[in-house]
Amino acid sequence: MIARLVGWLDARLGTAPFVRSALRKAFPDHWSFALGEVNAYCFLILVVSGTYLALFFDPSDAYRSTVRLSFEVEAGLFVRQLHHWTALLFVAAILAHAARVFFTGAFRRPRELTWMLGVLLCGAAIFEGFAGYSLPGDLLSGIGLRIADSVALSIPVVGTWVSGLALGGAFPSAQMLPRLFVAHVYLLPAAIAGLMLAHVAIIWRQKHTQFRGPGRTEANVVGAPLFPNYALRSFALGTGVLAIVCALGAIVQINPVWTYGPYVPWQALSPAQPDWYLSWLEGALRLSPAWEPHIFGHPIPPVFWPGVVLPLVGGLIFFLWPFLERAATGDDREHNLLDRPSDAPLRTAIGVAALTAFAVLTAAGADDVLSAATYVSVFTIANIFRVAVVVLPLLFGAIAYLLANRGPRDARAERTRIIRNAAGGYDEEPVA
Amino acid sequence: MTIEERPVAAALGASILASIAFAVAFALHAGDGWLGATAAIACAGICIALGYWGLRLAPQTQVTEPRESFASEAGDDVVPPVSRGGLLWLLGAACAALGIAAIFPLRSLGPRGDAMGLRSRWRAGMRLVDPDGRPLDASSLNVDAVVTAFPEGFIGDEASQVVLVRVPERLIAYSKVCTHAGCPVAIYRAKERELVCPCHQSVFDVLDGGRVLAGPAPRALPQLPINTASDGGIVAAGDFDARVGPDDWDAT
Ligand code: FES
Repeated sequence: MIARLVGWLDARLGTAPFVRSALRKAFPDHWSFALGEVNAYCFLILVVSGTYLALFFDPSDAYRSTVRLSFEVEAGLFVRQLHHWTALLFVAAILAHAARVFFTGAFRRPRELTWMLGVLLCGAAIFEGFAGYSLPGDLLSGIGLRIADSVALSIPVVGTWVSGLALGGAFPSAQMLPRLFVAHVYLLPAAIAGLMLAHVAIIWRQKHTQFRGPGRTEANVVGAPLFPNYALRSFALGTGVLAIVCALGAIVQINPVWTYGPYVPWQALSPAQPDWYLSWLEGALRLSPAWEPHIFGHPIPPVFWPGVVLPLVGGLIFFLWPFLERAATGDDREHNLLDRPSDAPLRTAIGVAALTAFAVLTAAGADDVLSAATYVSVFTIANIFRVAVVVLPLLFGAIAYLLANRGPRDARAERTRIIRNAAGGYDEEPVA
Repeated sequence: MTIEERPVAAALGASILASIAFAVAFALHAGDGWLGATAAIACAGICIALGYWGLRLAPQTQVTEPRESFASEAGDDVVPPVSRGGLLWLLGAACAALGIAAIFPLRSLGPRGDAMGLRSRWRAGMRLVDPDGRPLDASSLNVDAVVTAFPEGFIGDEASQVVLVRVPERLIAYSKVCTHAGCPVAIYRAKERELVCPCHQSVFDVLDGGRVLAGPAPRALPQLPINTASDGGIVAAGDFDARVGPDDWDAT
């Protein structure tokens, strides 16, 4: 059957040589390579479940249609919760995948382009997630949008224009949610799909990186063939992800908007947190000083630094990292063999410091929850975080540097193999 | 079926049963919990089957592929030479002009006229009413009572919302829009007589003109001058004493 289908296609398109080589493509065996695939599966699940939800959701009657699709549509609540859980997992898997690529130096020449597309994907996924959880028009997300609008307004010179063009009027405008809906179901998914396609196409063309090991060189790639071994494992991963988000969607409640109520401008919730991947920005807003300088008589509001400058500068450093590292090390060679984190102590230290800062800011975004749980005043907790966000990254970065510099001994030493020769003695030969 | 195939078959069988159960659960209106649980089992069955198959049953072959080097001599001949280079510039200019022209319709996305920014509706003599439209009465507010108020006729207007606090001897009204990022300043701490914004915990001193005591807010809460009317109602004596809400570039 399959053979006949392949033959039918080959007679018309000449696809057999491609299919033959594609099915024998080598996929290096390492668990960390599966993180990127988790993203692809998450995106597929999001598109399918999101399409189902979009058929019941009405952005001009956002809150009521969300409650209706949760309680009156059979399977509605299940799919909505599954969609939300998958979105959280999606961003988490992107970050985990990016960390793997960063700490193993997989972004180095010739893969700078793949890395940059990946950083754009990460940004698009975060915007997509924010647009998605802001859609229901509930009190919690309405306040989030209010803050986002203030951040947009804080941009020097063009802030009022950015906000006005986005909302079509002062917050909360009637067009706000319908426009967000277009962005969430059309513009951003299309962008993510396009970026993902380019990202994967480049990986396919350049072939995977691989860790050092016997028989593995810069000039080859060793691994399981796509068919059947790798395909079986990959589909197992996809169905595994689906099983997990199904279970979460069924059992673990998420974003119960009916307990928050619809957005009205004079009400607020406390404590209130955004989805986890935005908590670092929320934390930065909470920790930043009440500093409002004036330029030529125009104020630069305090939300500008944590809300605009921090993510933009952080994202830009992230985006350009391959080139920054090359400028620092002068290493412009091609690298198809991966580093271990201990092979590049400084890079590892910087990565650990960045992750630590991210984690501290994320925790600071929940300082009101911590305060409620510990009975320590929220202001004391904020002050502790203000110190921690400077000290901990330096500390953990330094520890990572020292650990990496010592390294496991076998990563530093020449690796050799001992072979018994015909004469009964032993020879030592180096291993690639 | 061989013995080693049995785990795979069992997992796939369980998956089929779970899928049937999913359909039955839907037909019987069993609820979202059952739908999710059966779907999870159906997926997990396939996951386990494929995983076992891929890691245990399928021969663990390894393939080695050579890597091609892509760098070829990218000389001047990759792009065929274009004659009429002068026209090429003009073509570029035309495309750029078209692109710039296409930006103009974006203006339609924005507000008409100058409907931007928060504009308070308060004028002297306007009555304070609660969110349900009932006029507020000074005598009905005990010490440390806090209510949200609007100008009569503008209920729900974001820029005009006011938090009215009764302290001993006095009634004080502040804009409820936080000067940090615009959240409603919704928490009142009676013991300290402070208003706290739940978003990033800015703290404002009720007894001292809404001064910022802590947190990231850059300015005091604008205060609304109020009077008590002869019938016990509360009326505004004018507009806020400062601009409402967070600052932006155009706030001067
Ligand atoms: S909005 Fe009030 S503290 Fe940020």
